[in-house]
Amino acid sequence: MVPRSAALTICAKDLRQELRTRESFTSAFFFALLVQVVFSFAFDFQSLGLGFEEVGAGVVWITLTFSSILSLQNSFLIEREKNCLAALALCPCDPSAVFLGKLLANFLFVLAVQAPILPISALFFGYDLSGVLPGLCLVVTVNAAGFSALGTLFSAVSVRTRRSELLLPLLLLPAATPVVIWGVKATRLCLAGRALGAYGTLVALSACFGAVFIVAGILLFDYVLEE
Amino acid sequence: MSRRPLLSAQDLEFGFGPRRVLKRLSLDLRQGEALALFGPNGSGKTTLLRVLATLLRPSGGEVFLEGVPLSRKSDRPRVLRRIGFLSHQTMLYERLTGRENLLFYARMYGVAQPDLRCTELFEAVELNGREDDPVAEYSRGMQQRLALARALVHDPELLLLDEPFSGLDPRATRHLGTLLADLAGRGKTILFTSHDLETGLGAAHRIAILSGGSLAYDAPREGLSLEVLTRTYSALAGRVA
Repeated sequence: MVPRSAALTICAKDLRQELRTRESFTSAFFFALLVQVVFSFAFDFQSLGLGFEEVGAGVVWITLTFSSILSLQNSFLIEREKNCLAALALCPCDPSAVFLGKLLANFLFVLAVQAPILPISALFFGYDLSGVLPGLCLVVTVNAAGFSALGTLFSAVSVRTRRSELLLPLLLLPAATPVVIWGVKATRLCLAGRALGAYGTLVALSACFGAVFIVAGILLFDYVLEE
Repeated sequence: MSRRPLLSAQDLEFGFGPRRVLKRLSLDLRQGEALALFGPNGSGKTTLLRVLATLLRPSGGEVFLEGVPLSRKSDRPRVLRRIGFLSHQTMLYERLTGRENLLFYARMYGVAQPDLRCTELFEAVELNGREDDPVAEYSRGMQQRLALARALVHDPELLLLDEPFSGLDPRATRHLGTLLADLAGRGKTILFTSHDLETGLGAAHRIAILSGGSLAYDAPREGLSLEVLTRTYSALAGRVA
């Protein structure tokens, strides 16, 4: 089977499961919403003279990073439940197709969680996103791709361990630090109304980061699937 | 039944850490042959099936499928298309329906007419009428039958079935026995494990007993009575199944 077709079949299967139960989305979305509520009530940024331009990037990326982990964790746990991972390993497709299918599904999950969080965050802080939306979408999409690539690989690596729920954040958070930092910086510049040229390098760095881990996943997934 | 071996395992070795599970195990399976493999818990039956299915890599020896070594990466997709594997666990997605599960695997194996194939299989395992129910709502026996359909979805030549009769009621057990006989009659090669000597004896052409990681007994079923098999098993395995 051609990898693209197998990857799309896996992605469609994951999306179908998620649409049926909404397990990942619901937990990630409500977690993200809770973080927004806590931030907006716990810190009185306006009295400190800080606007959304200064603090929004941090708030958004803390929310996105941790809520994404929740959805990434479930990605391979559903394959572990009835040893479906072994069934995937026995399918006559290139193992990279499994990685790419999972990556695509995870990327869509992460975007689906992030999409409502940005306007909700702006709403809590009384900020009008309309002027910066295209740039912000670009930053979030590119960084979400990098984060998903890394998360998919580490989620697969950690799923066979007993404490995979604990191991994934331990592996993912340090390794994802560069992409999160670049995401925060680019988002801050974007929210400040700067042109794409001001944060283009940061977006490019995040894109390279994502590309490196996509290639790593394609090359290494054969070994990851092995028992 | 053909004379040439479809599957040939030579001097297989496998261990989990220092514990050796398979010890220089050799086994040939001819095309169209159904081999029942018995053995006490921990004798290495599941490990052997997982090695033969390519899920575990042996630490020694080699498995050949019509002369092609399973370890050769370039032939792996072609080899996998010829093997159907049923494990202890169902390998099914419980949130999806029975049909969605079969369609998913049919597409992953590149089956030409997946919808038609799924309909055939639901009839073969007597699950028609329940195709659109989530697998989570199936009973243990129904899940086992659907898992068998999953293993058959790409019409493999070699079937490796780990305790296929487990969880089935007497009627479903008889039906599965008939289905296996029918598959063997159509030239499929079957290796299945079981703890039920009577059922295994009824469904196989050849009987083998695995004890301590190697084949302690291997004989044709013809002329073998349940009584003799039970005695042999007790002597070799140390207990009656």
